[in-house]
Amino acid sequence: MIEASISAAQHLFTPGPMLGILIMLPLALFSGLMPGGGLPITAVVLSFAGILDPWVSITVVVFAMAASDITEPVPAILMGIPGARSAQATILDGYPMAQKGLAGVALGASYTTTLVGGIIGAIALLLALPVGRELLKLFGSAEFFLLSLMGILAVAVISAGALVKGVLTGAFGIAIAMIGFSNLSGEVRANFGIDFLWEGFSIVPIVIGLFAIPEAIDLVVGDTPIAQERMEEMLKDAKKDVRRGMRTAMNHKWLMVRSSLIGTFVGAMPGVGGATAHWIAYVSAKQTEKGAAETFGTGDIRGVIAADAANNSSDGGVLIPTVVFGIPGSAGMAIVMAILVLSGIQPGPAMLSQHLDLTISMVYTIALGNIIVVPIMLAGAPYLTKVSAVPPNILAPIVIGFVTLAAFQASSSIEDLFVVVIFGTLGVFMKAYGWPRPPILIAVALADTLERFLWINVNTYGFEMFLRPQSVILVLIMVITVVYSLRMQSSAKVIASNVVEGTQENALLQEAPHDS
Amino acid sequence: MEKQHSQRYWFSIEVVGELILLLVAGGLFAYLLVGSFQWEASSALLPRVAIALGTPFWFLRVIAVLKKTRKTPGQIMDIGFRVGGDPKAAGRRFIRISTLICVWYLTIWLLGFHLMLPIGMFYYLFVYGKAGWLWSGIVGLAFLALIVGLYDMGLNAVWHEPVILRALGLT
Repeated sequence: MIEASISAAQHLFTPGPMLGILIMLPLALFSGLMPGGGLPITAVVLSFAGILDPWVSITVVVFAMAASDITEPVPAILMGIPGARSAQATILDGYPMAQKGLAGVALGASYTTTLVGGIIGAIALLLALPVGRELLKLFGSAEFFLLSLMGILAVAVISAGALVKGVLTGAFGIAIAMIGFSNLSGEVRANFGIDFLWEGFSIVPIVIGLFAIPEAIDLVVGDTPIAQERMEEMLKDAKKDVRRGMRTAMNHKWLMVRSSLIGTFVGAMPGVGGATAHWIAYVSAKQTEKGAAETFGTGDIRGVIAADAANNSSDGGVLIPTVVFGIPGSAGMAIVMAILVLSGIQPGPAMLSQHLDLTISMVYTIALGNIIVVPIMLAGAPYLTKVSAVPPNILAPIVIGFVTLAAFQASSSIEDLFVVVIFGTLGVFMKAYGWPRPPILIAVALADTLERFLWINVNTYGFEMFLRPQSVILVLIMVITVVYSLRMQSSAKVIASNVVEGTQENALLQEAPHDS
Repeated sequence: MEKQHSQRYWFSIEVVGELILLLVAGGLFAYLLVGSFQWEASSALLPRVAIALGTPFWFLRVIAVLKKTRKTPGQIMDIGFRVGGDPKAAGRRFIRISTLICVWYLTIWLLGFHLMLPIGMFYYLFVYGKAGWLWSGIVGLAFLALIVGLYDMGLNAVWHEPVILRALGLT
């Protein structure tokens, strides 16, 4: 472990990864500040995964995720618009604070808690790695098959709070992954008579179609009005207010620590991820903080602190199931997994043995992301926030231009643009009807492993694979996790359903958001 | 009145759209199932597991849509499109951007990345982004510089032969 830690530092602090971070920094800041979040830019890195050294591509993506998560509270606080997955709970109190002219205070508190949360999440991940290593020694091929299958199902069941649509999407994802060449028999399956599909769908156009294109379309469809004038007015005394926000956050250090731990714990639950963590922390703070039941939702700074601490600490948390079990806890982590696969590294157990140093470098990268980006945001908040006011009709074509190049360059195949259109259409429909998209991506990334272990187990154990003690324990853990997560989500969902849509619409109408 | 309302429901975008989605998923399941009878056992196993897993939930979803018991729970990961205060205008914007993406990709296929990516960028920024000649031109040229500088010179990228340029013998 110590050797791997040293090796991770030696690899990370070399010109390649550092140059990658330097190039990604402005892009991640820019994309995170945009309504809609940084996921599309993260997807662009996928196209370079085959060319770049895994140390560079993984570092760049993890850094981009950490950096864009840090910047996401800006549109949430200033305009009441959430990021791709995070900062939704931040709106509840951050946006009313901005309406009261306290945007600077909210931003100062947000970044201070973000820094603390990020570092707590990274430490938790570091501590979880040795435990995960020991745990994996008990597992055989039957358990790895169950882990892969249940990973897809867990994400499917929990991710959108709709069980039927979730499991259906998980199965649909596996079916999509089955198109093309079979590694087991060498035959071509279900290619619709199209030569291009002999090798199946490449993962890069799938990611871009499912995630980047619908988000770009959403930008244009939402057509968020520009709040430049109001923002400048609000940020007139921003520097002074930011310092005040930092002091206020430090006065609530236990709330910060507690919310960070909640974020890490919820983020570490396979399939739950950071999309839920900040809601749980927010609800918990509302129930436990003095007088919060009356003041949360009206511009209480403790609401911002609870949501943002959990939001950022969950980044460390979601890496735990991704690297230990190969089960991503978020869409961003699914992209990290895809990059690992494209780089020839199988996510899961090998990440804690052969590639332990690479795994530890991810922890360092998250911490580094916080250390680099938070001071930039604190110092430049009044100026950087203006980026949030870029009109959607300027941003959308730029995003589409980047991802189009990325989709083509991943395999230099023009047909991949048609794959983007097909999966873009699918992504639009899925987004519109609330079908969770991450299970498709996870299924495509895990399909090879799943199929190999299934075949080995059917031939070796038959149905007895489900009766091995480790398998039984694993199934029980998964069932308990899913049930517990669904219960936690039900409380968070009540707030989410009322607030996410309500606040967005209100932001568009320039009215006050609903109280929770 | 009830009948009218019911008729509106069946042809509403909520129902037709999700039925299309279900048709795509169900169609793929059926295609894989039929095909799996001709594959070796090792290749057919996982597709059949996926179909067995997904089919009951597919039927449940179809029944839910047809019986009007659809719910729209608070989505945490997929929060749907932001339509704002004017859904009709949002619909028009949706059709416009979707069509433009398809046309943009089609022209790239016909005329190539070097030509159509910068031109498409310029066109969108100038016409819809109202960015003006100068800024639209700068961003368009920046994309051309990216293609030539990073992809051509830096990565020795291999591009497809644009269909029209190939037909005219210009490639």
